[in-house]
Amino acid sequence: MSRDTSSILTMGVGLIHPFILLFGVYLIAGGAHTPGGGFQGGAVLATVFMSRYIALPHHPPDEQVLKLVEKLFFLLLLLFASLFGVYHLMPSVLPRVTYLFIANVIIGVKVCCGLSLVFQRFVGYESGE
Amino acid sequence: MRRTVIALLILLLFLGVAFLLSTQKAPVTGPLMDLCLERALTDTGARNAVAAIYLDYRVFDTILEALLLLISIIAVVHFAQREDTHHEP
Repeated sequence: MSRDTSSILTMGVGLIHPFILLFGVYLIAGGAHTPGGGFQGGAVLATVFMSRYIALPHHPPDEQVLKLVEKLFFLLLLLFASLFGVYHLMPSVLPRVTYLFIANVIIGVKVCCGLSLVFQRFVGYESGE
Repeated sequence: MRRTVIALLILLLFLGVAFLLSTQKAPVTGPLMDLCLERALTDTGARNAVAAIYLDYRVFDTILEALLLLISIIAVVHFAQREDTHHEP
């Protein structure tokens, strides 16, 4: 057991995690029809990692994995938006709403990884790594 | 002292910009806004006109915005490394 985490904090964070996740996924998934979208939903999802740090400060997520996932999803967004957004292949190949949904998901994952990475890096810097 | 002065300057700048923006009579309607609101659903299938704009009409803007975020995050990660305990290339 780690020395400086209280069980109240850990349980509280565990209790609110599902709601944060649900809210973030709702913002991303409903981005085409309701207020929200990839950037906002990704920022909400990044708070999962931040609150996780408060509860479990000694089990940080792997920064290299976050970095890799973010770069991969940027490339994916570039390819996907170029193929389906720019050349308007949508009605024949992919419904437009599906295009919006997938693009929102890609942006959401990318923003989530990026903001978590920045937070994790600041934590690592302040603790002298 | 120096930090207080800088904070005051930033606060003054913010108040100035906010005052300038509040006095401006920016048009809240216009032909482009009407066009977007009217045609967003039929053009892109999005009931949210903002999503229609940033994922369809201005998709290059969104891609470059994502690139901007990626570059700034890489810069933050690069500069927030302790130099004395730098073990990874």
